[in-house]
Amino acid sequence: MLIKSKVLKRFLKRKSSLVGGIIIIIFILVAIFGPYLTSRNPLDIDLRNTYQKPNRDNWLGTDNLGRDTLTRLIYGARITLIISFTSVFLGTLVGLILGVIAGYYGGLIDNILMRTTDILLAFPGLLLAIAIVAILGSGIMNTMLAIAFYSIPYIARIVRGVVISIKGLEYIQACEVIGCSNFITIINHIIPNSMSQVIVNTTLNLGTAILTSSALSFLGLGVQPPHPEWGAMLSTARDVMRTTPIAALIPGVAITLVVLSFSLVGDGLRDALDPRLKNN
Amino acid sequence: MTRSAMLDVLNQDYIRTSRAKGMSEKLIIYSHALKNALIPVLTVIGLRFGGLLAGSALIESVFGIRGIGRFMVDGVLTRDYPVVQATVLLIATTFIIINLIVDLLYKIVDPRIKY
Repeated sequence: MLIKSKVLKRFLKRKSSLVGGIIIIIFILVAIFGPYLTSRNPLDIDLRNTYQKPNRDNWLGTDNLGRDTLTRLIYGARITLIISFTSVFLGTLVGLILGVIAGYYGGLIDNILMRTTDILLAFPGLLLAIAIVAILGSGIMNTMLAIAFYSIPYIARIVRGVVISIKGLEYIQACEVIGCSNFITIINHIIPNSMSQVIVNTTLNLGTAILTSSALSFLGLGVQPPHPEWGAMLSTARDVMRTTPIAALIPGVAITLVVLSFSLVGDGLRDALDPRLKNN
Repeated sequence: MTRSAMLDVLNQDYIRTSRAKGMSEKLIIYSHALKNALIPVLTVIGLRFGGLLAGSALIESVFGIRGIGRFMVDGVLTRDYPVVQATVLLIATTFIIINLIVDLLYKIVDPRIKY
């Protein structure tokens, strides 16, 4: 508990991370309570009012089919955050398991797993996601799977490195001496002690996941219309960028803000959880 | 990136030695410090290249350029699997070759590195 409050104190000391955290909390609240914030439907079409500038009825204007941009932005927050959280959680879980197995057991298992991650790392992130979507087809579920899949090798690599360094420490040897099984050692000692690295990378990955899901939707490979996803909104607004720039600006600013916030929080967590600073 | 690598290098002993023997600051910065700070910068350039190659799919779609990236996206949309396979393989190979070149450049930047 003492350590946790110290970490929190160090995290809160960094003002930029605090601001990032507040922005993320606001977006999460908007995503949860979306329907209470607006009485309109994000899919309601009004062809007489397409490409409206911000006005009293439509605070952030309307899109190519006259749908209210603010409502779509609010409902889009749900889809974007669900995709990023689920995919990063899945990717981290699998990556953690693979990394721990590779790092703890070593030898042939380590070799096989790490060469496989090497192959996956040879593909740039977005490219791998596009390739997976090509195999599975587009849609929310497949976008999540694609992003989860490409974040596995990064997490597995990091966890493996941490596990190898922890494995040599005295308390793990002590655990072996008193007769702990491998499973107990991994669950009770290895995983909790490698968590700080995992948390930092998960937070940083969330930003990348949002960018990738937006990029996929922008290309028409991710979330399909008429679902309100930020990348897809940006893609629709692209054709009228010169005449109605606000339509592209709003989802663009939302994506930038959330990705920036996740990266600020990730940096803050990295500084707060850094073992070299623990004694200060 | 370059800033943090430079700060790290400028604290080294050999920079102090160069200053002590009266080398001009310009010469120290360019021939000693920058050269030694280049290794992490090179690594990042290599890794960033992958992002740029994959990002070409986005850029080419936005600006209507008929390049490999757009070819790949069109292949995905029309379920043209051989095109997707070929473009993905081509981009991944280019990425690996660029990282190989980066690895070889390490030796030019820092002759102490041996393969």
